[in-house]
Amino acid sequence: MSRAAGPILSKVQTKRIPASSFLRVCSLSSSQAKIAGYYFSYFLRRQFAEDEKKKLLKNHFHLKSTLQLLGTMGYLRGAIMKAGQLLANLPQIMPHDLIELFESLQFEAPPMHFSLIREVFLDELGKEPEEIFSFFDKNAFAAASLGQVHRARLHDGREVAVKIQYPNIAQTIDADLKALSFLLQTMRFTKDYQYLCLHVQDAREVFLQEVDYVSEASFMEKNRRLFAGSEIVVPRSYPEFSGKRILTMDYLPGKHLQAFLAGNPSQAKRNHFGELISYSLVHSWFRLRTVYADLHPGNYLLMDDGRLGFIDFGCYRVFNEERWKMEIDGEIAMFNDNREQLMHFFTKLTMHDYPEELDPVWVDLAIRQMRWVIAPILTKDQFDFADKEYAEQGATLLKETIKSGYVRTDSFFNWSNRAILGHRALMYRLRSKVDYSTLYKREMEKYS
Amino acid sequence: MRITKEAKEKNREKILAIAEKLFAEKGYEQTTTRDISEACGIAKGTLFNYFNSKETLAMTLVAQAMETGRQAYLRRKSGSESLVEELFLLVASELRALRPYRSYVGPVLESGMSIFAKKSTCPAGDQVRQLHLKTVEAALAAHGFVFIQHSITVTLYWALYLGILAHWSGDESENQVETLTLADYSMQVFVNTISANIEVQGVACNE
Repeated sequence: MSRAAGPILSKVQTKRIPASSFLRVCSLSSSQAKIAGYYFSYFLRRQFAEDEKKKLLKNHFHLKSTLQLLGTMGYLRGAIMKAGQLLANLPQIMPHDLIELFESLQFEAPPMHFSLIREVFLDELGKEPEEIFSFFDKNAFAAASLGQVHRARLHDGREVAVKIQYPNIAQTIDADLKALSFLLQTMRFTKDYQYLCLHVQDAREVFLQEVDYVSEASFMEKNRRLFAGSEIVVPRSYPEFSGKRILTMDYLPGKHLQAFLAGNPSQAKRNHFGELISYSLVHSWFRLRTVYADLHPGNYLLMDDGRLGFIDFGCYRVFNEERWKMEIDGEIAMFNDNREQLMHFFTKLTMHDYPEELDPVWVDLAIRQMRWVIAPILTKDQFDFADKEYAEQGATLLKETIKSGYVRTDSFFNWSNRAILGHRALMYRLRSKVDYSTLYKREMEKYS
Repeated sequence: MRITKEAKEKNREKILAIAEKLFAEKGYEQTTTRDISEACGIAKGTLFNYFNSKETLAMTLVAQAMETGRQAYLRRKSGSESLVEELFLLVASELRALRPYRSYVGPVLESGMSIFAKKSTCPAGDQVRQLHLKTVEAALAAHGFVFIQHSITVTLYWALYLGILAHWSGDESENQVETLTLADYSMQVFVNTISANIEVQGVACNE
């Protein structure tokens, strides 16, 4: 969030993230939250077939209680920002307009005042910010997921960015995810309930990893080494000035996508940064066997000297050996258009035993989706990511996926889809033309 | 034998130090005045010359910590804080100083600083309450508010403040971080209320 969000913040900054469930239950104030509750109710009702109506009525009380909890969510700005991101990973169970509503709430995340920040510092590092830094800007210059970022200067003169997590936010969101699981219980008679629960559980695991800045710093360091010598800059983290809820890293000068685009950049610059963004995704995919689940504009800085700052490493998933092999086999099957191998991949992906058990409607949709995903890889030379037909096709497929409500896939499928969609959305906004095929195939041959 | 003022003060300090140690080791409830007097090497009656009950002793420890916290607040504040921020800083500084006494701050405050008590049984409690409220009064005055003693505003503030302490005494979150957000929220509520700021505009925070 930039300072441009100031007027919105000034309206809400006197509200703080309620810490306890008691306060949250009492904070039935936000009309947005009420709308969210309404949508959720409507959506859930739609999920039940006619013959399930009686069962739904039995669960009405549970549903009502949960919606009351949800009604308080609008007040949990910081938390809802994260909940929205997590739920956006499950488009099959969330109507798109609700995801948008959740995402819009993130702009209301209230800043922490300096007195609160000092307490976080004392608890985490045992010192006040003024003792650790020769300069510390009391005003945040950016929002991070679950916190805010301040500029500071170390005593040796190095400029740093300090990410500080909202106090108690982790517990608050965890409680919300539990509430979500509770809400999902109203759907427990549907056939895919167990898979829904797996996705929520998986989202929780990723979230718990994300709230630990020590873990993020370690992954950031891994990426710094990975991209060393390239035009992608990953900031150095400073463990001596970091903790579980504070992450101090090099300050990188640069513009976020929106500001970059406002300068009406040349096509060459657009292509250049598009290539770097693609490289950051593909290189870490093949080299670290990692999928970034949080590929959005806020995590990149487009620097004046042509380098790309890659600044957020909280939300990721690492493939294990077995899942990685399955992924590569699936990709090869798709490239070779080998139907038999592809069906084998889908069978594993959807946790079935035999290809005959697969839902043919879903198979058709999945194949169309995969074709869309690999189109830039199969196109020789430059691929125009701003191509209208390609973008519309992607949007239609996404709508179809959401409408299908199909949740019986492993969680990696969700994360990798989200990363790919994030990449394509970024490239579309950049209006970038990139030789994605050469980049992808080179990395694949080298590292898979 | 008459004892000097210095010796009396020294004894008082010794009793407080030993009581603090015993409360920490054995627990407040499990420690008796006999335990304290024996550990100090004095008669139980002598102990009562200094502190008339175990509660008074504990309240004195708590009051001292609160004063340490208040002094830390005075050192830490820069003068550029918003009212909410300043009040939060006061409360947070006190809570930090009170940490060693967290296990028994509840019962002590209940008897010594209750919102219902017209007059506390412990002069140390009365004194620290007055000092705390004076500090709040000064903070409010610096932001253009008048804080009239014994008014409904004081009752509201004190109720919120004791509520924070009550929650904190049983807060099991790491570093009582839950109370930190509650303290911030409570100060927002207080400032919004005295500003008659029902729509919650940004008048009082980060102005």
